[in-house]
Amino acid sequence: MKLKTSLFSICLFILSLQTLQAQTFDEIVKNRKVINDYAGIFSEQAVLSAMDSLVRYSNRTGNQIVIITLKQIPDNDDPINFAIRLWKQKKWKLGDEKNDNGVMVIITTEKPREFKIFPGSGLEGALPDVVIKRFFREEAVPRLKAGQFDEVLARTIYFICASTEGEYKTTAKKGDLSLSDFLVGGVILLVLFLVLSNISKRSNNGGNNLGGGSRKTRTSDTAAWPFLLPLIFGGGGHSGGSGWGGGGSSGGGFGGFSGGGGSFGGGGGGGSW
Amino acid sequence: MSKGLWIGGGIVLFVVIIFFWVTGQYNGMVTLNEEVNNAWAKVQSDYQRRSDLIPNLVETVKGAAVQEKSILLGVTEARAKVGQLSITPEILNNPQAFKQFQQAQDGLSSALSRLMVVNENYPQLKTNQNYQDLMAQLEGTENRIKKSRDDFNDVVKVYNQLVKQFPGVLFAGMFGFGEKQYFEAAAGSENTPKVQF
Repeated sequence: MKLKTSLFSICLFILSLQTLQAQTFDEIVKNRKVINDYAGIFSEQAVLSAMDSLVRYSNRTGNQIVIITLKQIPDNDDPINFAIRLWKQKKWKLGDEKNDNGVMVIITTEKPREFKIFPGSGLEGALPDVVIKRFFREEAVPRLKAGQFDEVLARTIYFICASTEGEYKTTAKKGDLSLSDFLVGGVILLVLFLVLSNISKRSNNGGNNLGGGSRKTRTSDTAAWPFLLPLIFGGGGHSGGSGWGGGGSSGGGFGGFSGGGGSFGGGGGGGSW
Repeated sequence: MSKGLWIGGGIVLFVVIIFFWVTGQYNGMVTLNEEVNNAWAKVQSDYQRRSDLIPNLVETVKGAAVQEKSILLGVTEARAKVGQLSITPEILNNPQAFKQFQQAQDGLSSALSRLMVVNENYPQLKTNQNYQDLMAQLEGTENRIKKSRDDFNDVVKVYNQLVKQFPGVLFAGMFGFGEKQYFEAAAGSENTPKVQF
């Protein structure tokens, strides 16, 4: 009996060792999610709602925020080296190439316990080192120490989102935007032209016009427009559809969004808790 | 007659191909050289940022009546030394000047880290808002330096490979593209000021 229980406890111990085994760098690189809770400190519900709000935030503002919790940084690295290395990996180039508007949050739970917020180089202005440090000291540390990790997660996300909101305009790709702009502009011009030619037609009909020949050609011109219209509108509707498709796929993927080529300049900070 | 034409045409073609090939080599070196200079400028501006923080830091620490005057003096002197150095991209081609530059910057790093250690003994500093803000900036600056040095080394590596390997090595000397210096993780350069509260 005693042997059995000790065997059982040994098995438990081995099992717990297995789960305690730290993630390797490559494992972290491979599975990029929005919330990478390797330390297992957040509740499932908190992760889901955080993920949802971060993906929506990213779709709205283009700023990509990723959270990583670990027991320890792999390879005995310090957080900044880890962040630099990670940010170089293809899927982890947070933010887009032009704006470098990503943010990486790193929390470790074993000594030295760290809490770091690393903004991409395009968000260093919105998230200055000093402001991050203050947030860390005043809001994060007390809750980290009390083990209120869900609360830390929510506050961190709120802090980053509120600071970086409006820093850059939408994530929509330039090409898409200009195409739809072009179509919208074309449609507006067309409608204007139609209205104007209608007016002139009416004035021609109603008023005592002088050149009968010119009137005839004008009416035949306007008569052709209704046939052209659906063609152009159809084109507009089609391109609109593809635009939404792009948005949906970037929002619906497991990773939430794909790293867009943003880079990291070494800014940000935090500290040990 | 037609045989001569063929040979002539072949020679012209050969010359044209060689010309474009050499042009490609040259342009590649120019581009990479520019990239190295860019990365170097980034390193410079990050180091400058650190130098700019120091007077304010020294004043704040003095204000807290820190006793270890020699350590404060060490930081000021190390900063002055850094300020005297030439920072033009030319020093990248000069191993000695580059080494001097790195030594001076590393000297400042270690002087700063000594100061940080001493400051741990002064509780009034830890609660000083100004000091804390300076520390946050300094820490961020050290991180930026790390990152820009890292990027610099990456670019120099690519550049050096082009310049030192065949066939680039054939033209590098001709066009005046020499090997460039790396940052080395010299002993002690890794201990950037650890700021812990």
